[in-house]
Amino acid sequence: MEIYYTHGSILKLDFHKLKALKHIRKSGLGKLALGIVIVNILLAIFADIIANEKPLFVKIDGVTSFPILQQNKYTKTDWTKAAYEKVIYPLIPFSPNTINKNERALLQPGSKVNNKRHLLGTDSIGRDVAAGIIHGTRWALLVGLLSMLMAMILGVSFGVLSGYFGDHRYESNVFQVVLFISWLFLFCFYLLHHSIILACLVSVIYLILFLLVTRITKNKALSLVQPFPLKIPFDMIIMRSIEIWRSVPALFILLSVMAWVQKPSIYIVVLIIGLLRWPGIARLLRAEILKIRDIEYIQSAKVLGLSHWNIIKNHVLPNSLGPVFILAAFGISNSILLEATISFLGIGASTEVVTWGSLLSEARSHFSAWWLALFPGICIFLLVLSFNVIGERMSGKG
Amino acid sequence: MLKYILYRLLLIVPTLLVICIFSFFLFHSSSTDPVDSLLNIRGIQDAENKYVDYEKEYNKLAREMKLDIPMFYFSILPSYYPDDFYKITNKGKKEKYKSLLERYKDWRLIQNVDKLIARLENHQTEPVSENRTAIENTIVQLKRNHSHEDRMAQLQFLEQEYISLNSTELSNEINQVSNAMHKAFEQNIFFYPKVKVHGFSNQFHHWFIGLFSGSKQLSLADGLPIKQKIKSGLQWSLSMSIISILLALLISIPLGFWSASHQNSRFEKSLSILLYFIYAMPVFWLATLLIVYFTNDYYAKWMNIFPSVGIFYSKDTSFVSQFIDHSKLLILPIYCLTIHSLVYLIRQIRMSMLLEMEQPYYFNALSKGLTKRKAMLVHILPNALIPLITIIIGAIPGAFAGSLVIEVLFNIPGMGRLMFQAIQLDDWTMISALLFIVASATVIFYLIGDILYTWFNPKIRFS
Repeated sequence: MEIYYTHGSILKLDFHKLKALKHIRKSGLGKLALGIVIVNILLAIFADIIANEKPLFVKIDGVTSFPILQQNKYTKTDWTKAAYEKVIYPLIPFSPNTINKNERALLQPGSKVNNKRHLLGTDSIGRDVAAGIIHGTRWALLVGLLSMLMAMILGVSFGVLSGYFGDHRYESNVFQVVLFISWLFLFCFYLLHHSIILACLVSVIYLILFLLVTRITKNKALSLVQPFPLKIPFDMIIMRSIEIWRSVPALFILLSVMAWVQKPSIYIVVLIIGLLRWPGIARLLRAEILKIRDIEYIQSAKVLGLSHWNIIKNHVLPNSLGPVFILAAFGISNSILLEATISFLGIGASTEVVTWGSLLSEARSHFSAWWLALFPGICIFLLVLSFNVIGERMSGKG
Repeated sequence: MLKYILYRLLLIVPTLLVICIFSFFLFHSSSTDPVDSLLNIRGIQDAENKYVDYEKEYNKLAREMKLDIPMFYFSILPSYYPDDFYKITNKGKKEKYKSLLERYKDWRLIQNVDKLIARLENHQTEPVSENRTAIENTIVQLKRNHSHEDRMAQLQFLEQEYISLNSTELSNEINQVSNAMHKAFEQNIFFYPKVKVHGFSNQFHHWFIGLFSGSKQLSLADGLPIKQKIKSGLQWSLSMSIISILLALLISIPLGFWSASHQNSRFEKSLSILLYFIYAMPVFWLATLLIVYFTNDYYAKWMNIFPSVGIFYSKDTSFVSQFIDHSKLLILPIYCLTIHSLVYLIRQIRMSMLLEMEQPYYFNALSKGLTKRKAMLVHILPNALIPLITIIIGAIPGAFAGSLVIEVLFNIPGMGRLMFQAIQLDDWTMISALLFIVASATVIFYLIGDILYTWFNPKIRFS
């Protein structure tokens, strides 16, 4: 088994990332996949500049301005009718949300409206498909990356807790546990009943009590108060909760929560997908940590007197996070698919937000519009495929 | 072995309990009013077809549905809640009182305000003032729930009006109440959690017992009992999933065997690339493309192979005859269901066979004189198929859930489409029931899969 002799801490993880990236760069398909992902990220960042109905640069009556950069100023101007001296339009001169008020028709790709060509056609109310795809890149990547980031943070924390500490390693005493559980209960209770003042008050009181207890129990002179040692079984608790999380198909939970929430927005989708993905990461990390937990150099680090946190940060995590990144790559593609599925079904972000899934859902009702079915699907397919290839290339060689 | 099974059975009990509690509370914390929906469906008419009082019907139905008993075995509520708060069954009223309680934290004050408003409503003024409509409007506004400042302004307006009408006792009462409200708003901050034990007569208990003894829950979409809908949905979903799993197994085992035995040939490499591409295609995109191109003759006459979807109605005949009638419609959905599992299974079989081929017993079999084919068929394939047990048993809960997208696209009345319709129509009874069924099926079948895997694999059994 390969052990990377760590020279640095988790913050210098570029040691590992570089190795993984090097493997990707070696294969042609991996380079292509990485290139597609980078192109998508650039499209997402510069979406406003690439596809917008406001011109990039316009000169009317001798006054030059850059309407694209001034978001709120020109919301009501009808750019087709102004008299320009000089105008430069962005690459796709449509916004994803502008409805074609005159015709409201399904237009073929390449048809012209007011001297502007719809490169990929429009949907039934006149929204340009190309602009929708480019702005949809932004939402897809947002959902994919943000939700996996959240899942990684949660999953790594819980995985480390359950893998490194297991059932027998974390020693605490009864007072601390009782204090923590009662604090958690009261804090959630007060927050639930909308009383932030009381919640903060309770937290402050408990913090003082906690510090007192820690001081007293660590001070050998005050041996009157004997701490009752208690081993917290992190592993059992976390594995049970992972099992509970895994019992329901993700789509069901996602749809139920979206129906339960009054105002669905895309950030709630991100939150829920992140909350659904962390068990997978925690399980994998736990399995990896169990493999390396009893190796000599970690035990020698303990003998040297390094704290738990130090050992985790410098020795355990850099060696076990490798497969987690692979799972993260597959998780990003899965999240993008999940988000596309729920916007395809119509339950997802609100109706004004144009994502790839919502473009595809229009294709269901209009059979003749093949461009609505083909192009957004190709985009989803390519992005998902690229993340899958990146994930597989990282795992194949590393 | 028996000890292991008992241990695992014990461990799934808390999981199942949490799933029960979660589905139950999802039902009750949504903002839809079940009694209201049912009344809307049934219409409020009595035996002589005359319209009756809404409130009376509401209370009657609420008592029938057992909504006036507490929700759970115990409740942890803030101290300012009254003891009989659960008796308020009207969800709108409950929300209103909840927000009022949160603001003023004094239940007696809120009851006094209600009494005052009732008195003001019934009060007849002798000299009819010009502002009578204004007064009536303000009283109506008071009944609704506005912010504290608005209420104080309304109360003050009423006070002034009643002073001008010379009804001093009313205006004094209004003055007292508004002072008390102001004081409560400013000063009542502190409260503590109060735990009340309700015993066995609560809604969760009845729901839980109902799960085992034939639930009489009604769907909120059309007022019919849930059991019938779920039963028919299960029939469709399970049958389609079982057919697709069997098909996938039939095709994938030979293909996986072939691709593992011809490991580095050109055909095999191109096959695995093709499989990879197919696996990355989203299922709903594939289904949409198939529907758009192959179910109508918009593009070319020869492409109209499959019958158009959307004509799918369930008659009251037996399920098997319905299935056979609509079998032509089911080709495309089963294809879409199968393709993903097929690709996944081929890759799994290939990977596990390659792993087994590295073991020493394979080399031993070859050096013994067996042909490669015989060695693989007799020795490796059975060992490679063991992980398949876990996969297949893990796919059965997926059969319970139905594939939501495919069922919605092809309009098949399975569990997935039931869930989708329930979510669209805010049918929370159905949603919580479906969640419970799918979650418990997953837990139970994973347990069965683990036990079977342990039994089949002697290494684990005897460790």
